[in-house]
Amino acid sequence: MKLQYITLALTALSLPAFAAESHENMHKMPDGMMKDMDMSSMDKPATAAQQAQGDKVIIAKVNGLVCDFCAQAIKKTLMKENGVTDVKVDLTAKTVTVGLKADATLEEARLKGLLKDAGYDMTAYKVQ
Amino acid sequence: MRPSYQLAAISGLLAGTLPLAVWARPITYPGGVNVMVGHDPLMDMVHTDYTINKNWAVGWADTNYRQDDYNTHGPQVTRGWRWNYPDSQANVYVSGGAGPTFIDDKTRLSGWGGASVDWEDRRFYTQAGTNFQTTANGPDFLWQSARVGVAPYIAEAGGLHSWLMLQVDHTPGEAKTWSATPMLRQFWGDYLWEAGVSTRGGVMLNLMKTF
Repeated sequence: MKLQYITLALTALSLPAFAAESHENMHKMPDGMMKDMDMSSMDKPATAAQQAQGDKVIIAKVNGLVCDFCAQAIKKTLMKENGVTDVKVDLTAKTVTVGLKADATLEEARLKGLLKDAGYDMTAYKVQ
Repeated sequence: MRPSYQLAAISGLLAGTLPLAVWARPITYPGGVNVMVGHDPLMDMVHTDYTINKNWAVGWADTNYRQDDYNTHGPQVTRGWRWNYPDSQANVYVSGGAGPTFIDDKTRLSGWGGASVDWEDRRFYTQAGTNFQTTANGPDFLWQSARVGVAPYIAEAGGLHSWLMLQVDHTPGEAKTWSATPMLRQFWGDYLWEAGVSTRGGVMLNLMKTF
């Protein structure tokens, strides 16, 4: 029975944590990603990756993004690719933002294939 | 294998719901390794799976059937299928393996298999699965389970993800056939952990780490 109390306590403790996390991430998100993603929203700059590297940024809309393990799998897969400097996953906007070195390229077919290999389906692609 | 187990196993396969740690996804990104450690009132297990590609993983399973005092070890293979939707994801996993079982100072050959089907979005989670193990001149084990879960809040990538879940287990070979386990599941980065209390008497503790 003690574990039940621990479980309840963990849940209670996690609620404030989630609130802070979600609030923080909402501020980090580009405006275009605050609503359901459409093609026009992909014209908004992906500031996090751009600011981090000051290089090219690709935004991909992806089906199947439902949990943090999805985000981790995609990050680990794409970070192995030459020229990729940063990967951000937005579970709300269903987007993957990829930062590239200035002289690097990541063609649509290649990114779609990498995401497919990781278990996800790319439905839109935009180079910023 | 006793006829009742055969029938149940076949029924499970036909229903599309059959081993593994039913609580976790054995397949991750290509080249990734999942380590899953689990404890419940009936058994302890350690599964390590290496993901070859989005459809296949190979691994090693160590399972200690504590209640019946025997343990099994060996390689296993998992095949997965995934369906991605804009706001949700569905998976089917089928796996099987074989290896020695150590029981009463004797070594027997065992085979095991199972399947799991799940669907989830960011708010709701459902899953069902069946596992079975058969041992030459030894005990058989059949385990069916189903889960439902709800996320009390929606976390972003990198945040702490929490789920309140209820797992119902059916183990026809045990004295207590049915049990239910309410639990808390949380994700954080590469880690997943679960803690619950079973009506069978005892706790369920699961931990998974992806490398």
